[in-house]
Amino acid sequence: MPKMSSSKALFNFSNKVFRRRFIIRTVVAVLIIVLGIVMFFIGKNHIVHLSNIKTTIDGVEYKPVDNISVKFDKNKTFTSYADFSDEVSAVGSKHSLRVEYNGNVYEKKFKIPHSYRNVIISLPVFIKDTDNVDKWLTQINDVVVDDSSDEEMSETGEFDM
Amino acid sequence: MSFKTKMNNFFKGVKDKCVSLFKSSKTKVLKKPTLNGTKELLIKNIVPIMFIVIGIIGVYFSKFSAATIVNEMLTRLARNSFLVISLLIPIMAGMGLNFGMTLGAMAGQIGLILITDWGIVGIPGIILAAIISTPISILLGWWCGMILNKAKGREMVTSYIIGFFVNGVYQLVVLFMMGVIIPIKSEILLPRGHGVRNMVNLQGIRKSLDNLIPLRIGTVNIPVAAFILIALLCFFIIWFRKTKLGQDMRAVSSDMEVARASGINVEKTRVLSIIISTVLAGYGMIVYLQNMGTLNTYNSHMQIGMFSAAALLVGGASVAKANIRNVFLGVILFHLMFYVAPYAGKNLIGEAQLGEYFRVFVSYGVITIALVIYEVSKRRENRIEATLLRESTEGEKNA
Amino acid sequence: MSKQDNVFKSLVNSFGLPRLLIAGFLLLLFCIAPIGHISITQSISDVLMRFGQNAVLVLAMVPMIHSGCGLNFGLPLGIIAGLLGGTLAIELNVVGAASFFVAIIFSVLFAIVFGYVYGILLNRIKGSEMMIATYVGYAAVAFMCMMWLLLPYKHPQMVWGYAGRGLRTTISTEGFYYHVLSDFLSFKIFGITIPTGSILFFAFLALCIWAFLHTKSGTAMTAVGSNPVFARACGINVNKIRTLSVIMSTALGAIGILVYQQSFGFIQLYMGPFYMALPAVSAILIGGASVNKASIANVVIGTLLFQGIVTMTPSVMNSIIHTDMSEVIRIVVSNGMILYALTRKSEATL
Repeated sequence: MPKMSSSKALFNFSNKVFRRRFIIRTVVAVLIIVLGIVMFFIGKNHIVHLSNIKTTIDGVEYKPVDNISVKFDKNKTFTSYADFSDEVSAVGSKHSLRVEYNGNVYEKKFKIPHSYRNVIISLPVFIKDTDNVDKWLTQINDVVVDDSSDEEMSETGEFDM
Repeated sequence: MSFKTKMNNFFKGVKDKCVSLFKSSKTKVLKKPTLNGTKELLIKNIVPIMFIVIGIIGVYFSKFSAATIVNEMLTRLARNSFLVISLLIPIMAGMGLNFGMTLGAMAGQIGLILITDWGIVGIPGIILAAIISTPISILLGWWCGMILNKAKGREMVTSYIIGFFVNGVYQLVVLFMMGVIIPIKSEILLPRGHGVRNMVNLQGIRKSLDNLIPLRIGTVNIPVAAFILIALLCFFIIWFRKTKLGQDMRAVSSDMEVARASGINVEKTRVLSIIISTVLAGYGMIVYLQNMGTLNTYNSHMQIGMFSAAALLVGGASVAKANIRNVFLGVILFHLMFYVAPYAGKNLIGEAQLGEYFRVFVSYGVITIALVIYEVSKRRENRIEATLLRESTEGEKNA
Repeated sequence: MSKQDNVFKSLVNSFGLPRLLIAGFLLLLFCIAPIGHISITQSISDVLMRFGQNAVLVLAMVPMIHSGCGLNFGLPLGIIAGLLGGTLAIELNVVGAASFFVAIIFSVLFAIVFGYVYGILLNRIKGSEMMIATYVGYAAVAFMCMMWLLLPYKHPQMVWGYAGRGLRTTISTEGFYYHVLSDFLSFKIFGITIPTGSILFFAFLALCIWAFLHTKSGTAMTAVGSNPVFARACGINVNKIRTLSVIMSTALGAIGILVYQQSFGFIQLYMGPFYMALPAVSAILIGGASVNKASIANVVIGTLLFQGIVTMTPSVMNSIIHTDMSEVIRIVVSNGMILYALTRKSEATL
């Protein structure tokens, strides 16, 4: 009678075929997990409020600046007016902001920390102190509650496709 | 045993069985009595034909333009085909309609809930959701397959009840553990602190896949990327049929005992078919939801199983036999009826509600009819085979 | 292993682990109840009330299980017969106790017709009854959804006031057969209200079924269920007996929903009956029945346990953990029980 292969054990590394399959499957699994982690970081969405509103930091007042042209990432350049705030979506971590005011150009490439969800970029502060990212980039802690979620269910609401 | 010898053994087993059955009638040519060609064709395809008729009537009364219909059908094809294709594999393995695809749908939804909470958007969000859903699907599919192995002969009812049961577990997780044990921070959490809201806005991934490669012909939008994905899945299915595992499944579906005798691990093959189907259902649910844009947290997965099964049956598939043609034909016909019915109802009788109830009735009715036709014709075939067998043995006696 | 262990193990095996778990869980709930300031007498009253409400629906499972048609997932068909009878009784403006009996008569007539057709269908598909029964039930409910809108009902308590046609989704039985049975001869003992009427009615029907099963046709039915080949060899017309069992099941379903409505207070149309088969199925399974064997004792025990869980879980859990997990628990318990039964090959207990 031929020798029985040790097929009862769960991981019999002595078997060449099993060894090869195990290695391939582990490598694939690790690659997928890495892919997932990469996706986690490059897909993170931040809601950025480019605000042109008067703010006070450390006792210093920054006044709103009227009629400046703003370009965030690859979005279209738009004009920001005093006392207004514009909302943009920022996906990923690396971003750029370019502001034109009074003929001067202020540009900065920066990173938004991953855990930030809602972010305010204060344009007046940006213009005055472009390189100090932490000064003009702040996180909003309040979560915007979406009250439009409805609890209604129509009669055959179960069957909407 | 190598694969080749296993296959040889299987076919030898089948051949031996046939030979022993018809050994005596070497000289007699056994022909199954078939009905008149066209009549048989009509009966076999009664369900798709009924639906073509309903579709034509419906489209006429709904007063929609051709462009609207085409646009809507393309959208629905891109949205639903993936899910329906996931039903093919268990049918290949003889497990009937896998109502347990609900489990995969739930796994996909959990993936989407998590990425929405984390704020991951776009294609990366979809990929991450798929990655998250996969291990959940595998686990659920494995468990479902083990239970189905204990209920051989009653797979469809059992998978149906499994769907309800796991729905309870899903609600336990999403309504009670999320926010408490599983940290959820965003606004999808209910104000009371635990549980996800009824409707989750999937704004982040909305149409991400559809609009990846946009194509517009006139007024018709074609979601190219989604169709490419579906085409890839079709190629996968076609390739899968030719692999060892695929052949094993077909062997198991035709005769479990002969397959077992030729060395195929019947139980493992059946479980694998359910696992693959569940994982695919998870991805399919993600494709479906990225098109819909909103997640109905506690309801979408329950209906999806029933509608996908109905669509497959409408396309002419049966509980034992289904191919890719059935999928596409079925999705088009079923969703045509589904889309058009309320408007036709409104124009015909003045009540859109009637049209809505009508489409629900037709959905369930078609499953009933298809199941009944399948069972009745299966019994008819068995009776004919038994009669032939009896005749052949009598012939042997008389010879 | 001591003899005691063996006895205990065989007891667990024969009674079934899930049933022991469920019974134990219910006992636990009753023990915790006082801690949450839930009145035990009130709870027992509630459970008894719900028993009276649902017992007949669970009883409807028995004929079909006995004749080998499996679990009657197509109970909605019988329920629809009951709905038709009930609405008809109200349409004809029959009030009070009389309306209940008029409703029963109409419902049973409808149920005989429905059951007959349903029975013929099931006879053609022996072996796959359960799956197709589910969808027949669903399709019937959906079809009736359309009919409730179209049928020429006129009674103002039932019809939408605005349009003047089409039935409302819920219709109150107040003034008609509301609590006709439940309040009949009901009395309070030790603070527990006993709905004598409902229980007597159920006992009456159960007695009828029990008696029937001991007649010639009844034993034929049992024979068909346990061994169809043997039954045919004895000259029993298997198809006829099966159809009879289906008609009986449908009729009991019709009566059952009327009993439910008179206790509950409302007639639920449209999608109401959609999922009503599952609680009845799981109740009888919890009571010890299997896919091919069921007894009256199964019905009583099962309904008590099931309704006990359904009643006690919300109140007790709510007062202790302040969360309403009852719906989820109900889903898990009832479907888990059905799953357990479907994966077993063995016979029932009791």
